[in-house]
Amino acid sequence: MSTSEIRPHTPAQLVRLVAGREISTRIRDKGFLIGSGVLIVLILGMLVFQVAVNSGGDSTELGVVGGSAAVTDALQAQGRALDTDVSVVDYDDEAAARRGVEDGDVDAALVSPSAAQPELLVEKSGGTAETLVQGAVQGMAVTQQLADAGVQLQSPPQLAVVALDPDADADTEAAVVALVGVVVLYSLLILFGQFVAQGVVEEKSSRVVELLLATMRPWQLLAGKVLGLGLLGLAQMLVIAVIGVAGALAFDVVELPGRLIGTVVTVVA
Amino acid sequence: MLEFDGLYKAYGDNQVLEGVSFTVAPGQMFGFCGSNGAGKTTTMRIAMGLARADAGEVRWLGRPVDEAVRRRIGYMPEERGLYPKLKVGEQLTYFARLHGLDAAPAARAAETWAERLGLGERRGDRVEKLSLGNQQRVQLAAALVSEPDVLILDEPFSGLDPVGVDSLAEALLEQCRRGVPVVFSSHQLDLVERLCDAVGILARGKIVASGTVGELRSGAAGRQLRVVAPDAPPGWAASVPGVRVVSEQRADVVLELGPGVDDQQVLAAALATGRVTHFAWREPTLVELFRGAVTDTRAVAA
Repeated sequence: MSTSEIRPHTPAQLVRLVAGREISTRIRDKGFLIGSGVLIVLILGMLVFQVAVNSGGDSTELGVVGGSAAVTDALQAQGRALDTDVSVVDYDDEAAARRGVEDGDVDAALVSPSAAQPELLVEKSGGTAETLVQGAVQGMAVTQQLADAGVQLQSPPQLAVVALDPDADADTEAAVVALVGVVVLYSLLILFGQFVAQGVVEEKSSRVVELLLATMRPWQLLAGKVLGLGLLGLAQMLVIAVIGVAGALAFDVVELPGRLIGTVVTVVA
Repeated sequence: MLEFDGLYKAYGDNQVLEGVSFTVAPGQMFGFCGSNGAGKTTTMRIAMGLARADAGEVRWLGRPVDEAVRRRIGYMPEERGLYPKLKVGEQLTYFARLHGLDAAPAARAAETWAERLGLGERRGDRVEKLSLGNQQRVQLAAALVSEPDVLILDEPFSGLDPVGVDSLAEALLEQCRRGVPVVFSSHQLDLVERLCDAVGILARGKIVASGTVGELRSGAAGRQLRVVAPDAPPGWAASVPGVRVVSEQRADVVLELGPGVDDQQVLAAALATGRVTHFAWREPTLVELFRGAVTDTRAVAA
């Protein structure tokens, strides 16, 4: 080797060298990889949780013995009023319905709804099924009594809804996204601050710093560290943001994708 | 020329260096000896800019050693320093790059030096997995990998097995042949005696003796001449003027010559008695010189 291959470094080159080493060591560090993986899984898990919570809300399975189309309609209408999807399963006799409730196939079973004394079979009393069926049976009885009295019912007028602040939802959404973003950013900042401190301590305790300081000034060493770890942190943040946004769009969690991306970009920047 | 000129350094009340001066010529191997705490490490740290001298300076080619010069110095600190989690090869490449090599030559140099110090197979291992002796070799390779213009090594031989000592010695001698001045400190005086062109003995913050091993010997008091003349009658040597007999065992006599006495005269006198089977100066070993130098200053200091 000849000395012609050796050129003195500029400070910028030294800083870049240090930064490069920081990134390449950290990126192969098991702890870092596992940490990033956990963070990503956590975000995806949150999305999935959101989807699970939002999708469908509640559903109630009701068994009916001796039902009819009118009974099913009444139950489902009552379900809509209580914000739950009602599906009706027909049973042939009370014994079958009893089994269905015991096995958990249905939440509750309604026996002889049109009789004078309808009976509801439940695992234990209380819960939405009870309220729901009570309302439906009452409604049916009232309709029946009105019909018996010869009252002709007209269908009620449809309500027209005017939203004064249609963006309210989107605003909340943006606020939540911003909040999550800030929390993630904050923890990453703390984490990378710690990485820098850790790296300095490591070099100091392993005495490697004596060799390093023979070739560069302390500020170059520190600048390289901060720069390298900062870039790495930013890259990690971007990966998380991209995965979070892509996941949110894919799972259809948000209503206004454009605003979500805008908010995320603002938080990262 | 690597010049250490009048270095003074005190830590609080403890005056560590009191005017340490010596020079190392290009291609010269300088052995730096001294008892524990004599200031060897401090001297080297001052040269590397890790400690600041209270007075005096270190010069290379007539210019004070600065950042740019230090980048061309291969340094091995007393406290070993390597990245424990970095692989040997990457470690060496990194240090080579820090000293100004480009990526490709740095990788090549790392490979070469790992190979030469017997670390070829361990190149892919993390440093923390190596034995202490092998870590030592990595440390050396880190100092040598940038083909430096000057080498300053603090206790490079400590902890090495004899094979490691030989391969390191060979590597250092080769650097000397390349014209690189090498300064290293060591307590293994036999090694210093074998390898070094020049020796400096540091005691109580001062260089108490320096020069080539030969110069140190000639300057030492009480040079002794051993003569074996089997046929000589007892007491032959006492008749030679200016000679004091130290010991006489049958034909084997040890003599001390007074100032200005010609050893050839002694030889002639010995030959006059008959056969001479042995005639040589008893060279004091460096250990003896070291002891003499260090105890002298103790006496002065006390």
